[in-house]
Amino acid sequence: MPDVVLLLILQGLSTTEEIVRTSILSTRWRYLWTSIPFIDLDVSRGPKNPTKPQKKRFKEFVSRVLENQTLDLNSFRLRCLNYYMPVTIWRWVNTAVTRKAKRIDLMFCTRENHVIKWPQCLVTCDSLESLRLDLYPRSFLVFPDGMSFPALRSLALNNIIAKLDMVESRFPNIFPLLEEICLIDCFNTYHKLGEILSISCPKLKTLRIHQLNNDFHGRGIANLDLKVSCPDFELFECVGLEVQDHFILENVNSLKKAVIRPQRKCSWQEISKLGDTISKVLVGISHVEFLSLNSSFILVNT
Amino acid sequence: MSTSSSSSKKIVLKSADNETFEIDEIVALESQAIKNMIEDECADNVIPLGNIDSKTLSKIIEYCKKHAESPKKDDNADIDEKAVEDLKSFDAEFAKVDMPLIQDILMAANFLNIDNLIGLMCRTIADRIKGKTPEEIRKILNINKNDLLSPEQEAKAREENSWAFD
Repeated sequence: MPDVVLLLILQGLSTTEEIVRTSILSTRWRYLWTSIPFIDLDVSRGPKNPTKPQKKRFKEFVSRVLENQTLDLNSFRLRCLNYYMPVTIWRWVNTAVTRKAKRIDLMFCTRENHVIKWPQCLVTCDSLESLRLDLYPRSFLVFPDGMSFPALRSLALNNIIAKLDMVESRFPNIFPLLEEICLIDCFNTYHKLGEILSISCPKLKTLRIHQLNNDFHGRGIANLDLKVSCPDFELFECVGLEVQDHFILENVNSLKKAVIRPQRKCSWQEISKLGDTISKVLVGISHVEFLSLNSSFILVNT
Repeated sequence: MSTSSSSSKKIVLKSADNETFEIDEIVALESQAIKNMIEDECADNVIPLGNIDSKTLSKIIEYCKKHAESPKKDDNADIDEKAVEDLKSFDAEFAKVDMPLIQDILMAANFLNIDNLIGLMCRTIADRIKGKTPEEIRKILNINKNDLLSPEQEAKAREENSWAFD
């Protein structure tokens, strides 16, 4: 079989660990894995409680699979718990960026005061199309000035605390092609009462805001007023949010699917208010093909 | 230049063991290689496929027929979900054959340049070697004993990426 076909077989294996294990099959397979344009590494696929030498072996392994500088990377996915310092992780990300990675998916646990400075290597990145960041425990993320991602289409942030006012003021400039925003359990710092999170990205098709865990002193986007105005908007999911008075979807004629399941309210007065807010939203999106609601704001008059 | 409608035009394929298969041109066009031959007008009435036996060729024709009949994704954005599911289950059934035949189909699909079929066969092989030991994989892929690494080479390969072999 020609090498291109063997490479297609290799690509059918999902993890880099398994792909690299084929290097001992035969002389033909010895270095085939170095031509695979994606990397998927997860330290938790190794021993349950790794020893120091085992952690070191993982570190060497990540560096080694990233070493190949001749091949552009399609994707770099790394899950590394709390075994490595951010400086090490950002060094790996830097290498992935140098290899023109299109997709980066990172999960790691933070140690230093839970404050993560956005890495220098990710301030501007021409090749990146998709970025996903999961931090545990929930950590502060500081966005620097001068960010620029001209090719980014999908941004997913999980479990971070950040100053989200930049969504309104800076996102359209930083991410001109952004089609998908996914904010899972994210919290907004410097949130003032009555502040509206306004999202108006010109190409945005999908917005998912899920709040599964509301334990951050009520500062989350959980109870933020929201305004979305995107002409290409197709999918809107808003789950677990403590919806306030201002909940506005405008310029959303292309919306096809909406999932609106706000957090349950306790008092009748609040439920009634929420009902009014959501009713207004529903009038504006009556054209959608798919709608999912929960019962937290439905009052039946008898 | 074709004057008759493409649905009625026939193409004849001849296998290595001299069996002939008459198929609709639209089915043959699933093969990029045959498509190029027809477009370059260098296809005679009978296309000889000297490296594909009749057993493999009939499987390939079965695949191309099914895929030629199914609506193409780019034809219509609102493609029938049932048709997609139907094609998926056809593919799954189609791949339930033994390894030698899978490899023959893969080689032939590669020669005939049928992208979807190459992808299906490669995914099938990948699924079969997933989670297997090197020894089992060598057996599945029928790797020649003469091509094995020497014990020293293998030890070095394991050492280089010891995390993957722990």
